[in-house]
Amino acid sequence: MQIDWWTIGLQSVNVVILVALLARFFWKPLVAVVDDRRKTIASHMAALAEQEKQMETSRAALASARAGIDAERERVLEAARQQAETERGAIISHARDEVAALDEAARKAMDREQDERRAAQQNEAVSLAVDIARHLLASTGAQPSTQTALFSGLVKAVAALPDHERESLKTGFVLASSMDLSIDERKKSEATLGNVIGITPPIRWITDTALIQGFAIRTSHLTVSSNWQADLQRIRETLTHV
Amino acid sequence: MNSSLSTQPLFHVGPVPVTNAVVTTWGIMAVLLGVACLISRRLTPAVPGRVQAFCELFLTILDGQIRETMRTDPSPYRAFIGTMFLFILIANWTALVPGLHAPTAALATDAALAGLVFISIIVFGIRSGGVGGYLRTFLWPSIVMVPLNLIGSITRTFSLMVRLFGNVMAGAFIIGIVLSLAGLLVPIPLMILDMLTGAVQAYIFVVLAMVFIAGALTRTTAAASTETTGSSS
Repeated sequence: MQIDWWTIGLQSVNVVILVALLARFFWKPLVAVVDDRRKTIASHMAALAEQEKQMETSRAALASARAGIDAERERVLEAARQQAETERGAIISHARDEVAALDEAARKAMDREQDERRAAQQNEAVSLAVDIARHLLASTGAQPSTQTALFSGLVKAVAALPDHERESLKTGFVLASSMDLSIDERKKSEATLGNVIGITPPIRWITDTALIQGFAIRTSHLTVSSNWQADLQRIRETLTHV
Repeated sequence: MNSSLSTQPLFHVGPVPVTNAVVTTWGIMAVLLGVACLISRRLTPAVPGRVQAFCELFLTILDGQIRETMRTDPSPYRAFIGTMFLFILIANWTALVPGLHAPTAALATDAALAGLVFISIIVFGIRSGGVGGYLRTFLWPSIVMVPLNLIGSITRTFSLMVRLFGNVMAGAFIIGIVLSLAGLLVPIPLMILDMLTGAVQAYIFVVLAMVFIAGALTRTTAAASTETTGSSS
Protein backbone atom coordinates (compact mmCIF):
# COMPACT_ATOMS: atom_id res chain seq x y z
CA MET A 1 0.00 0.00 0.00
CA GLN A 2 1.22 3.41 -0.87
CA ILE A 3 -0.34 6.74 -0.09
CA ASP A 4 -1.34 8.56 -3.22
CA TRP A 5 -0.77 12.11 -2.09
CA TRP A 6 -1.57 13.52 -5.52
CA THR A 7 -5.00 11.95 -5.48
CA ILE A 8 -5.60 13.05 -1.94
CA GLY A 9 -4.66 16.57 -2.89
CA LEU A 10 -6.71 16.55 -6.06
CA GLN A 11 -9.74 15.15 -4.29
CA SER A 12 -9.35 17.73 -1.53
CA VAL A 13 -9.19 20.51 -4.06
CA ASN A 14 -12.12 19.02 -5.93
CA VAL A 15 -14.28 18.91 -2.82
CA VAL A 16 -13.26 22.42 -1.79
CA ILE A 17 -14.13 23.68 -5.27
CA LEU A 18 -17.41 21.81 -5.14
CA VAL A 19 -18.19 23.31 -1.76
CA ALA A 20 -17.42 26.79 -3.06
CA LEU A 21 -19.42 26.35 -6.26
CA LEU A 22 -22.44 24.85 -4.58
CA ALA A 23 -22.28 27.54 -1.92
CA ARG A 24 -22.36 30.12 -4.69
CA PHE A 25 -24.83 28.54 -7.10
CA PHE A 26 -27.04 26.36 -4.93
CA TRP A 27 -27.10 27.06 -1.26
CA LYS A 28 -27.07 30.84 -1.45
CA PRO A 29 -30.00 31.19 -3.93
CA LEU A 30 -31.93 28.47 -2.16
CA VAL A 31 -31.47 30.13 1.22
CA ALA A 32 -32.37 33.49 -0.28
CA VAL A 33 -35.61 32.11 -1.67
CA VAL A 34 -36.47 30.45 1.62
CA ASP A 35 -35.61 33.60 3.53
CA ASP A 36 -37.73 35.66 1.16
CA ARG A 37 -40.63 33.33 1.71
CA ARG A 38 -40.07 33.40 5.44
CA LYS A 39 -39.97 37.20 5.37
CA THR A 40 -43.12 37.25 3.27
CA ILE A 41 -44.82 34.87 5.66
CA ALA A 42 -43.55 36.89 8.61
CA SER A 43 -44.87 40.10 7.05
CA HIS A 44 -48.17 38.41 6.34
CA MET A 45 -48.27 37.13 9.90
CA ALA A 46 -47.43 40.61 11.17
CA ALA A 47 -50.17 42.04 8.97
CA LEU A 48 -52.54 39.39 10.25
CA ALA A 49 -51.51 40.19 13.81
CA GLU A 50 -52.07 43.87 13.12
CA GLN A 51 -55.44 43.11 11.58
CA GLU A 52 -56.27 40.92 14.53
CA LYS A 53 -55.25 43.72 16.87
CA GLN A 54 -57.40 46.16 14.91
CA MET A 55 -60.25 43.69 14.98
CA GLU A 56 -59.77 43.34 18.72
CA THR A 57 -59.80 47.12 19.06
CA SER A 58 -62.88 47.35 16.87
CA ARG A 59 -64.48 44.56 18.85
CA ALA A 60 -63.73 46.38 22.09
CA ALA A 61 -65.10 49.62 20.65
CA LEU A 62 -68.15 47.76 19.42
CA ALA A 63 -68.64 46.18 22.82
CA SER A 64 -68.29 49.59 24.45
CA ALA A 65 -70.75 51.11 21.99
CA ARG A 66 -73.11 48.21 22.57
CA ALA A 67 -72.85 48.75 26.31
CA GLY A 68 -73.57 52.44 25.74
CA ILE A 69 -76.53 51.56 23.55
CA ASP A 70 -77.79 49.16 26.21
CA ALA A 71 -77.42 51.82 28.89
CA GLU A 72 -79.15 54.37 26.65
CA ARG A 73 -81.90 51.87 25.92
CA GLU A 74 -82.36 51.19 29.62
CA ARG A 75 -82.40 54.91 30.32
CA VAL A 76 -84.95 55.56 27.57
CA LEU A 77 -87.07 52.64 28.72
CA GLU A 78 -86.93 53.85 32.31
CA ALA A 79 -87.87 57.39 31.22
CA ALA A 80 -90.70 56.04 29.07
CA ARG A 81 -91.82 53.83 31.96
CA GLN A 82 -91.83 56.77 34.34
CA GLN A 83 -93.62 58.95 31.79
CA ALA A 84 -96.19 56.24 31.20
CA GLU A 85 -96.63 55.85 34.95
CA THR A 86 -97.09 59.62 35.32
CA GLU A 87 -99.52 59.75 32.42
CA ARG A 88 -101.39 56.76 33.78
CA GLY A 89 -101.67 58.44 37.17
CA ALA A 90 -102.82 61.66 35.52
CA ILE A 91 -105.36 59.81 33.38
CA ILE A 92 -106.63 57.90 36.40
CA SER A 93 -106.82 61.08 38.45
CA HIS A 94 -108.55 62.89 35.62
CA ALA A 95 -110.96 60.00 35.17
CA ARG A 96 -111.63 59.96 38.89
CA ASP A 97 -112.29 63.71 38.81
CA GLU A 98 -114.57 63.29 35.83
CA VAL A 99 -116.37 60.43 37.48
CA ALA A 100 -116.69 62.47 40.66
CA ALA A 101 -117.94 65.45 38.65
CA LEU A 102 -120.38 63.27 36.73
CA ASP A 103 -121.46 61.68 39.98
CA GLU A 104 -121.93 65.09 41.57
CA ALA A 105 -123.77 66.41 38.53
CA ALA A 106 -125.95 63.31 38.44
CA ARG A 107 -126.59 63.62 42.14
CA LYS A 108 -127.47 67.30 41.72
CA ALA A 109 -129.65 66.52 38.76
CA MET A 110 -131.37 63.81 40.73
CA ASP A 111 -131.83 66.21 43.66
CA ARG A 112 -133.10 68.87 41.32
CA GLU A 113 -135.46 66.49 39.63
CA GLN A 114 -136.55 65.27 43.01
CA ASP A 115 -137.13 68.88 44.18
CA GLU A 116 -138.94 69.72 40.99
CA ARG A 117 -140.99 66.59 41.28
CA ARG A 118 -141.69 67.37 44.90
CA ALA A 119 -142.57 71.01 44.01
CA ALA A 120 -144.75 69.85 41.17
CA GLN A 121 -146.47 67.40 43.46
CA GLN A 122 -146.84 70.15 46.05
CA ASN A 123 -148.26 72.52 43.44
CA GLU A 124 -150.63 69.87 42.33
CA ALA A 125 -151.57 69.25 45.93
CA VAL A 126 -152.04 72.98 46.52
CA SER A 127 -153.97 73.38 43.30
CA LEU A 128 -156.04 70.41 44.25
CA ALA A 129 -156.61 71.84 47.72
CA VAL A 130 -157.49 75.26 46.28
CA ASP A 131 -159.78 73.69 43.76
CA ILE A 132 -161.40 71.66 46.52
CA ALA A 133 -161.77 74.81 48.62
CA ARG A 134 -163.10 76.72 45.62
CA HIS A 135 -165.63 74.03 44.92
CA LEU A 136 -166.61 73.86 48.57
CA LEU A 137 -166.96 77.68 48.76
CA ALA A 138 -168.82 77.76 45.49
CA SER A 139 -171.12 75.03 46.64
CA THR A 140 -171.88 76.81 49.87
CA GLY A 141 -172.98 79.95 47.98
CA ALA A 142 -172.46 83.64 48.64
CA GLN A 143 -173.13 84.79 52.15
CA PRO A 144 -174.15 88.45 52.65
CA SER A 145 -172.15 88.67 55.79
CA THR A 146 -169.13 87.33 53.98
CA GLN A 147 -169.66 89.80 51.16
CA THR A 148 -169.92 92.62 53.64
CA ALA A 149 -166.76 91.54 55.40
CA LEU A 150 -164.91 91.20 52.11
CA PHE A 151 -166.11 94.68 51.00
CA SER A 152 -164.87 96.11 54.28
CA GLY A 153 -161.53 94.46 53.55
CA LEU A 154 -161.57 96.09 50.09
CA VAL A 155 -162.19 99.50 51.61
CA LYS A 156 -159.37 98.98 54.06
CA ALA A 157 -157.06 97.91 51.25
CA VAL A 158 -157.91 101.04 49.28
CA ALA A 159 -157.32 103.12 52.35
CA ALA A 160 -153.97 101.46 52.81
CA LEU A 161 -152.88 102.27 49.29
CA PRO A 162 -150.20 104.88 48.77
CA ASP A 163 -151.65 108.32 48.05
CA HIS A 164 -150.71 108.46 44.41
CA GLU A 165 -152.26 105.09 43.73
CA ARG A 166 -155.34 106.01 45.62
CA GLU A 167 -155.46 109.29 43.71
CA SER A 168 -155.27 107.34 40.46
CA LEU A 169 -158.50 105.67 41.39
CA LYS A 170 -160.30 108.99 41.11
CA THR A 171 -160.28 108.71 37.36
CA GLY A 172 -162.47 105.63 37.54
CA PHE A 173 -162.08 101.90 37.65
CA VAL A 174 -163.78 98.59 37.16
CA LEU A 175 -165.31 97.06 40.23
CA ALA A 176 -165.78 93.34 39.91
CA SER A 177 -168.13 91.50 42.20
CA SER A 178 -168.63 87.82 42.65
CA MET A 179 -172.36 88.28 42.59
CA ASP A 180 -174.81 90.73 41.14
CA LEU A 181 -175.66 93.55 43.52
CA SER A 182 -178.73 95.64 43.59
CA ILE A 183 -178.67 99.30 42.67
CA ASP A 184 -178.83 100.33 46.24
CA GLU A 185 -176.09 98.08 47.24
CA ARG A 186 -173.95 99.42 44.42
CA LYS A 187 -174.61 103.04 45.39
CA LYS A 188 -173.95 102.31 48.98
CA SER A 189 -170.69 100.63 48.07
CA GLU A 190 -169.71 103.51 45.73
CA ALA A 191 -170.37 105.98 48.48
CA THR A 192 -168.24 104.06 50.94
CA LEU A 193 -165.39 103.91 48.44
CA GLY A 194 -165.87 107.58 47.60
CA ASN A 195 -165.37 108.41 51.24
CA VAL A 196 -162.11 106.63 51.29
CA ILE A 197 -160.88 107.90 47.89
CA GLY A 198 -162.13 111.40 48.42
CA ILE A 199 -164.63 111.64 45.59
CA THR A 200 -167.01 109.18 44.05
CA PRO A 201 -165.25 108.13 40.88
CA PRO A 202 -166.96 106.68 37.80
CA ILE A 203 -167.29 102.96 38.49
CA ARG A 204 -168.13 100.25 35.96
CA TRP A 205 -169.62 97.25 37.70
CA ILE A 206 -169.01 93.72 36.40
CA THR A 207 -169.87 90.34 37.79
CA ASP A 208 -166.99 87.87 37.98
CA THR A 209 -167.93 84.54 39.50
CA ALA A 210 -164.31 83.51 39.42
CA LEU A 211 -163.84 85.65 42.50
CA ILE A 212 -165.99 83.10 44.42
CA GLN A 213 -166.70 85.62 47.12
CA GLY A 214 -165.70 89.27 47.33
CA PHE A 215 -164.64 92.19 45.19
CA ALA A 216 -161.78 93.44 43.04
CA ILE A 217 -160.91 96.94 41.82
CA ARG A 218 -159.16 96.85 38.45
CA THR A 219 -157.50 99.65 36.57
CA SER A 220 -155.05 99.55 33.77
CA HIS A 221 -152.17 99.37 36.19
CA LEU A 222 -153.62 98.52 39.53
CA THR A 223 -155.65 95.72 41.04
CA VAL A 224 -157.01 95.78 44.58
CA SER A 225 -158.46 92.45 45.57
CA SER A 226 -160.53 91.37 48.47
CA ASN A 227 -162.01 88.06 47.48
CA TRP A 228 -161.52 84.42 48.09
CA GLN A 229 -159.93 83.81 44.75
CA ALA A 230 -157.14 86.19 45.69
CA ASP A 231 -156.97 84.70 49.17
CA LEU A 232 -156.72 81.21 47.78
CA GLN A 233 -154.09 82.45 45.33
CA ARG A 234 -152.05 83.92 48.17
CA ILE A 235 -152.44 80.71 50.16
CA ARG A 236 -151.26 78.76 47.12
CA GLU A 237 -148.28 81.03 46.66
CA THR A 238 -147.45 80.83 50.33
CA LEU A 239 -147.66 77.04 50.35
CA THR A 240 -145.73 76.83 47.11
CA HIS A 241 -142.90 78.96 48.48
CA VAL A 242 -142.79 76.92 51.62
CA MET B 1 -10.61 -6.33 -9.90
CA ASN B 2 -8.07 -3.79 -8.76
CA SER B 3 -7.49 -3.33 -5.07
CA SER B 4 -8.95 -0.18 -3.58
CA LEU B 5 -5.85 0.19 -1.51
CA SER B 6 -3.84 0.81 -4.65
CA THR B 7 -4.63 3.46 -7.24
CA GLN B 8 -3.86 3.16 -10.88
CA PRO B 9 -3.71 6.47 -12.75
CA LEU B 10 -5.75 6.76 -15.91
CA PHE B 11 -3.51 9.45 -17.28
CA HIS B 12 -1.07 12.06 -16.16
CA VAL B 13 -1.30 15.85 -16.32
CA GLY B 14 2.31 16.76 -16.07
CA PRO B 15 3.60 15.09 -12.94
CA VAL B 16 0.09 14.75 -11.55
CA PRO B 17 -1.48 11.29 -11.93
CA VAL B 18 -5.22 11.40 -12.53
CA THR B 19 -6.96 8.37 -11.16
CA ASN B 20 -10.36 6.91 -11.85
CA ALA B 21 -11.69 8.32 -8.56
CA VAL B 22 -10.63 11.81 -9.56
CA VAL B 23 -12.31 11.58 -12.92
CA THR B 24 -15.46 10.21 -11.36
CA THR B 25 -15.31 13.01 -8.83
CA TRP B 26 -15.12 15.52 -11.65
CA GLY B 27 -18.14 13.91 -13.20
CA ILE B 28 -20.02 14.06 -9.92
CA MET B 29 -19.01 17.68 -9.52
CA ALA B 30 -20.26 18.47 -13.01
CA VAL B 31 -23.57 16.74 -12.40
CA LEU B 32 -24.07 18.40 -9.03
CA LEU B 33 -23.09 21.80 -10.37
CA GLY B 34 -25.31 21.43 -13.44
CA VAL B 35 -28.30 20.32 -11.39
CA ALA B 36 -27.64 23.09 -8.87
CA CYS B 37 -27.51 25.73 -11.61
CA LEU B 38 -30.64 24.30 -13.21
CA ILE B 39 -32.50 24.37 -9.94
CA SER B 40 -31.21 27.80 -8.97
CA ARG B 41 -32.33 29.24 -12.27
CA ARG B 42 -35.88 28.02 -11.68
CA LEU B 43 -36.13 29.09 -8.07
CA THR B 44 -39.10 31.32 -7.40
CA PRO B 45 -40.30 32.98 -4.21
CA ALA B 46 -43.86 32.29 -5.28
CA VAL B 47 -45.45 28.87 -5.21
CA PRO B 48 -42.54 26.39 -5.53
CA GLY B 49 -42.50 23.38 -7.85
CA ARG B 50 -41.85 19.83 -6.75
CA VAL B 51 -38.08 20.07 -7.22
CA GLN B 52 -37.84 23.39 -5.42
CA ALA B 53 -40.09 22.10 -2.66
CA PHE B 54 -37.85 19.06 -2.29
CA CYS B 55 -34.74 21.28 -2.19
CA GLU B 56 -36.33 23.58 0.40
CA LEU B 57 -37.37 20.56 2.43
CA PHE B 58 -33.81 19.25 2.24
CA LEU B 59 -32.50 22.67 3.29
CA THR B 60 -34.91 22.82 6.21
CA ILE B 61 -33.96 19.33 7.38
CA LEU B 62 -30.25 20.11 6.98
CA ASP B 63 -30.56 23.35 8.96
CA GLY B 64 -32.55 21.56 11.63
CA GLN B 65 -29.96 18.81 11.84
CA ILE B 66 -27.10 21.31 12.13
CA ARG B 67 -29.01 23.34 14.70
CA GLU B 68 -29.82 20.28 16.80
CA THR B 69 -26.35 18.76 16.57
CA MET B 70 -24.14 21.84 16.81
CA ARG B 71 -26.45 24.04 18.90
CA THR B 72 -25.61 27.08 16.78
CA ASP B 73 -26.74 29.04 13.76
CA PRO B 74 -26.47 26.72 10.72
CA SER B 75 -25.62 29.38 8.12
CA PRO B 76 -21.76 29.29 8.45
CA TYR B 77 -21.68 25.48 8.21
CA ARG B 78 -24.53 24.84 5.80
CA ALA B 79 -22.50 24.91 2.57
CA PHE B 80 -19.71 22.69 3.89
CA ILE B 81 -21.90 20.13 5.65
CA GLY B 82 -24.54 20.06 2.94
CA THR B 83 -22.06 19.76 0.08
CA MET B 84 -20.13 17.01 1.88
CA PHE B 85 -23.35 15.08 2.38
CA LEU B 86 -24.47 15.45 -1.24
CA PHE B 87 -21.03 14.57 -2.59
CA ILE B 88 -20.58 11.50 -0.39
CA LEU B 89 -24.13 10.35 -1.09
CA ILE B 90 -23.77 10.66 -4.85
CA ALA B 91 -20.26 9.22 -4.71
CA ASN B 92 -21.49 6.22 -2.73
CA TRP B 93 -24.31 5.62 -5.19
CA THR B 94 -22.00 5.94 -8.17
CA ALA B 95 -20.98 2.34 -7.68
CA LEU B 96 -24.48 1.34 -8.76
CA VAL B 97 -23.92 2.83 -12.20
CA PRO B 98 -22.41 0.20 -14.48
CA GLY B 99 -18.83 0.99 -15.45
CA LEU B 100 -18.27 3.48 -12.70
CA HIS B 101 -16.50 3.09 -9.39
CA ALA B 102 -17.43 4.95 -6.27
CA PRO B 103 -14.80 7.57 -5.50
CA THR B 104 -15.42 6.95 -1.83
CA ALA B 105 -14.35 3.34 -2.37
CA ALA B 106 -10.85 4.77 -2.96
CA LEU B 107 -8.88 5.44 0.20
CA ALA B 108 -7.43 8.67 -1.18
CA THR B 109 -10.91 10.22 -1.56
CA ASP B 110 -11.91 9.25 1.96
CA ALA B 111 -8.60 10.57 3.24
CA ALA B 112 -9.22 13.82 1.42
CA LEU B 113 -12.72 14.11 2.91
CA ALA B 114 -11.49 13.30 6.40
CA GLY B 115 -8.64 15.72 5.94
CA LEU B 116 -11.08 18.45 4.94
CA VAL B 117 -13.11 17.74 8.07
CA PHE B 118 -9.92 17.92 10.13
CA ILE B 119 -9.03 21.26 8.56
CA SER B 120 -12.59 22.54 8.94
CA ILE B 121 -12.51 21.75 12.63
CA ILE B 122 -9.39 23.87 12.97
CA VAL B 123 -10.76 26.68 10.79
CA PHE B 124 -14.15 26.87 12.50
CA GLY B 125 -12.51 26.54 15.91
CA ILE B 126 -10.11 29.40 15.22
CA ARG B 127 -12.90 31.49 13.68
CA SER B 128 -14.97 30.91 16.79
CA GLY B 129 -12.40 31.53 19.55
CA GLY B 130 -9.19 32.63 17.87
CA VAL B 131 -5.94 30.71 17.67
CA GLY B 132 -5.38 30.86 21.40
CA GLY B 133 -8.88 29.82 22.12
CA TYR B 134 -8.64 26.89 19.75
CA LEU B 135 -5.33 25.76 21.18
CA ARG B 136 -6.69 26.01 24.66
CA THR B 137 -9.35 23.47 23.70
CA PHE B 138 -6.63 20.85 23.87
CA LEU B 139 -6.23 21.72 27.57
CA TRP B 140 -9.79 20.61 28.23
CA PRO B 141 -10.62 19.24 30.73
CA SER B 142 -7.05 19.51 32.10
CA ILE B 143 -3.53 19.95 30.84
CA VAL B 144 -2.91 16.26 31.38
CA MET B 145 -5.33 15.54 28.55
CA VAL B 146 -3.31 17.48 25.96
CA PRO B 147 -1.60 14.41 24.45
CA LEU B 148 -4.81 12.45 24.40
CA ASN B 149 -6.67 15.37 22.82
CA LEU B 150 -4.01 15.73 20.17
CA ILE B 151 -4.08 12.02 19.43
CA GLY B 152 -7.85 12.04 19.52
CA SER B 153 -8.11 14.81 16.97
CA ILE B 154 -5.98 12.76 14.59
CA THR B 155 -7.44 9.36 15.29
CA ARG B 156 -10.99 10.52 14.87
CA THR B 157 -9.99 11.83 11.46
CA PHE B 158 -8.61 8.43 10.65
CA SER B 159 -11.73 6.80 12.02
CA LEU B 160 -13.84 8.93 9.68
CA MET B 161 -11.71 7.93 6.75
CA VAL B 162 -11.55 4.24 7.57
CA ARG B 163 -15.25 3.96 8.42
CA LEU B 164 -16.36 5.44 5.14
CA PHE B 165 -13.75 3.60 3.11
CA GLY B 166 -14.44 0.25 4.78
CA ASN B 167 -18.21 0.38 4.36
CA VAL B 168 -18.22 1.59 0.78
CA MET B 169 -15.38 -0.65 -0.31
CA ALA B 170 -16.97 -3.64 1.40
CA GLY B 171 -20.25 -2.97 -0.37
CA ALA B 172 -18.51 -2.64 -3.71
CA PHE B 173 -16.55 -5.81 -3.07
CA ILE B 174 -19.60 -7.79 -2.07
CA ILE B 175 -21.59 -6.63 -5.08
CA GLY B 176 -18.66 -7.38 -7.35
CA ILE B 177 -18.15 -10.85 -5.92
CA VAL B 178 -21.86 -11.72 -6.02
CA LEU B 179 -22.12 -10.33 -9.52
CA SER B 180 -19.22 -12.49 -10.67
CA LEU B 181 -20.71 -15.57 -9.03
CA ALA B 182 -24.48 -15.34 -9.44
CA GLY B 183 -25.18 -13.42 -12.59
CA LEU B 184 -27.41 -10.46 -13.28
CA LEU B 185 -30.47 -10.25 -10.95
CA VAL B 186 -29.10 -11.65 -7.73
CA PRO B 187 -27.05 -8.57 -6.76
CA ILE B 188 -30.10 -6.28 -6.95
CA PRO B 189 -31.10 -6.67 -3.27
CA LEU B 190 -27.49 -6.12 -2.34
CA MET B 191 -27.41 -3.03 -4.55
CA ILE B 192 -30.50 -1.70 -2.79
CA LEU B 193 -28.82 -2.46 0.51
CA ASP B 194 -25.73 -0.68 -0.80
CA MET B 195 -27.86 2.39 -1.57
CA LEU B 196 -29.10 2.34 2.00
CA THR B 197 -25.60 1.83 3.29
CA GLY B 198 -24.29 4.66 1.14
CA ALA B 199 -26.99 7.03 2.45
CA VAL B 200 -26.39 5.97 6.02
CA GLN B 201 -22.64 6.35 5.66
CA ALA B 202 -23.01 9.83 4.16
CA TYR B 203 -25.29 10.76 7.03
CA ILE B 204 -22.93 9.30 9.62
CA PHE B 205 -19.96 11.06 8.07
CA VAL B 206 -21.55 14.51 8.16
CA VAL B 207 -23.08 13.96 11.58
CA LEU B 208 -19.70 13.04 12.98
CA ALA B 209 -18.19 16.03 11.22
CA MET B 210 -20.82 18.26 12.82
CA VAL B 211 -20.14 16.71 16.20
CA PHE B 212 -16.38 17.26 15.88
CA ILE B 213 -16.81 20.84 14.69
CA ALA B 214 -19.37 21.52 17.39
CA GLY B 215 -16.97 20.09 19.92
CA ALA B 216 -14.32 22.55 18.85
CA LEU B 217 -16.85 25.39 18.99
CA THR B 218 -18.14 24.36 22.39
CA ARG B 219 -14.75 23.89 23.91
CA THR B 220 -13.60 27.20 22.46
CA THR B 221 -16.57 28.99 23.89
CA ALA B 222 -16.17 27.22 27.25
CA ALA B 223 -12.45 28.04 27.38
CA ALA B 224 -13.14 31.69 26.51
CA SER B 225 -15.81 31.96 29.16
CA THR B 226 -13.51 30.30 31.72
CA GLU B 227 -10.77 32.75 30.86
CA THR B 228 -13.17 35.69 31.16
CA THR B 229 -14.41 34.48 34.53
CA GLY B 230 -10.85 33.99 35.81
CA SER B 231 -9.70 37.43 34.69
CA SER B 232 -12.70 39.20 36.17
CA SER B 233 -12.34 37.44 39.51
